[in-house]
Amino acid sequence: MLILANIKAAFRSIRSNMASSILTVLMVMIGISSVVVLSALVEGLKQDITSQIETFGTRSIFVVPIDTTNLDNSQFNPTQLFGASSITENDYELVKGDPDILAATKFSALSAVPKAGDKVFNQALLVAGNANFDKASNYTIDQGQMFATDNPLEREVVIGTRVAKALFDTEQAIGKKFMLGRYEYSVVGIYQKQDIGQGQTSPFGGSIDVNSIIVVPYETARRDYGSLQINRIFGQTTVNADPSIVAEHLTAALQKNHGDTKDISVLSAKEILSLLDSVLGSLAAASSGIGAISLLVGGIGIMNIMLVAVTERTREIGIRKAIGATRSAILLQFLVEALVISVLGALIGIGASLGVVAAIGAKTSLSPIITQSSMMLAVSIGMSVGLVFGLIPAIRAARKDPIEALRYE
Amino acid sequence: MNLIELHDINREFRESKTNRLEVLKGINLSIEEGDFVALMGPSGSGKSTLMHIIGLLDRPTSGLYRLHGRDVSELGDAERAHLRAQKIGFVFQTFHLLARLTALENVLLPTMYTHIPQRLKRAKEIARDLGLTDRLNHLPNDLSGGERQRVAIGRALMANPDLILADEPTGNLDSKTGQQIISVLKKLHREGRTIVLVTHDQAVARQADHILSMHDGRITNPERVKAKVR
Repeated sequence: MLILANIKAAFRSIRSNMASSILTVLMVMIGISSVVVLSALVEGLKQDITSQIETFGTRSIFVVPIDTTNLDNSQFNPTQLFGASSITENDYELVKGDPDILAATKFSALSAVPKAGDKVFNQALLVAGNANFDKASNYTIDQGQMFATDNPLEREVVIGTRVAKALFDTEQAIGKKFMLGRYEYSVVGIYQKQDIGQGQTSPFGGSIDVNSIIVVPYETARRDYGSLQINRIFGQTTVNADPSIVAEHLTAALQKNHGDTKDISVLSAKEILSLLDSVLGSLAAASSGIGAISLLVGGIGIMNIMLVAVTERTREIGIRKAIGATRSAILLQFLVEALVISVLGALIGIGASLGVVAAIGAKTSLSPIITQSSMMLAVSIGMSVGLVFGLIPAIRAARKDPIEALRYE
Repeated sequence: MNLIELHDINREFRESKTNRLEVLKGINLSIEEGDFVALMGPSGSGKSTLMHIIGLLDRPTSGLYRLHGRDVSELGDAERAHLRAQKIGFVFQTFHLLARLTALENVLLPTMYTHIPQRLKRAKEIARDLGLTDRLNHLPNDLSGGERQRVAIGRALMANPDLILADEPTGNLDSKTGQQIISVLKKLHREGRTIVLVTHDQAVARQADHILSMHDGRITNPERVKAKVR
């Protein structure tokens, strides 16, 4: 049980030098927490968006007003995803009429704040869509029904449960009315509640927070709000078609329709997910880089404190050698000490990360997730840092000449 | 039976490229098992260095050292350390206890480096024989000089070594306490252990069986060594 004896000795040494030990543990802790929290943020983002894309279904396709066929950084202009869109009515007809497309809808974002009496809901996602919006989006209406045409006689809308709750204090809101700008709309359908992250909307149009959505019939919206930009087109392919292939041939068709200008393309759910993977991959790499740098600092801190410890305990090393400690025994002793500090830092870092992640989840709309594997990774990184940066001081200690060490004051 | 045999031992220190310091010159020495030898000499005579070589803490520049009939120059560093742990007990002038450990923990320290069966029981027995039972939970700082040296002796005895090397064990103690320590060493000698003691003090040296005098790296009374009576 030599390791146990060394661990006990390590704790005693740490305690006797409390102040510097705490500072070193703090350095490792900050390094580890930054790695864990950053990767939790990326993971949370990924899971949010992935689950939302999955609710759209594996057969969904998305038309976006940018060229995604050549998506390396130099050609990717994210501003094209927002603002003026290049999608036309013609494009919509083309998509809708395609034999492999089961249903398609236009999607135009609107801005107005829904108001019911003195209640407002600022976080609504207000859109204009066609009457087959739910067939095209794969979302289920579980109360009431979709509006029958793009231009119903009455002003009808379909909303999500969060909207209902915010405006009417209840999720059973069929028949209730609210104001959008100057006009009053009545609720004819309510989407089934989805258990997804709040308010996450991917700019690629691959996800919608259906609980916060308000869908206004397309022509009604055009009448009430003037000309609309078609921001996206959603659709579902037929059962037998391969969405990736459909997306490819639609992209070619639409770009041809635009006079061979590459300002429009079609993505399948699979492609959006892999796009997401690569964007998040870069994000993950960047955050790993940041984490690695802070861990480096922590490691240097460990090396520093251990070098000082070895010098201060020169006499102790001499005594131990005189009573029979081999070089490896001394090496082990100091290496264990470095490991104890770094593992302690890692464990406290994980604890701190859990707290930080909980706070972020509660206070913002982000939902970071710390996975088991990232916790285990954190501990192993902690151990490696201790091993790597504790090695040189431990070797120094092991090499001390016992006679000179005993003379050291 | 000769516990220690030194033939033509030299120890040279290289201070710089041109400067060589010869600390031990042609030492020839035998110490029998069960002997009690005092090593005396002025500062710089090389007695501590000789002690270090006997105790396997240092290697001679040339010459032969046999411990228990075995040529130690063949031993690697780790083997020397193990031998030290099992067969040799050190007692130092400045006690060399670990300040952060209690007396008991200091006595138990060798158990980290060599296996000692029933170590706690043994440590407590040793402590009792040395009159330390009430002081075991104290830190060295709270102990008197004599108590500290007794703790150091207790530590040296844990592995039940044949050989005790004491380098000026009474140097930091008053004469009364010093004498107590020498009595302890004498008792250990009566139990059959071999004691080698470095000292400045004539009164202390006279209590050994044999006195070796050193000067300038040589033993000045080799005939004393050969004329041992056992």
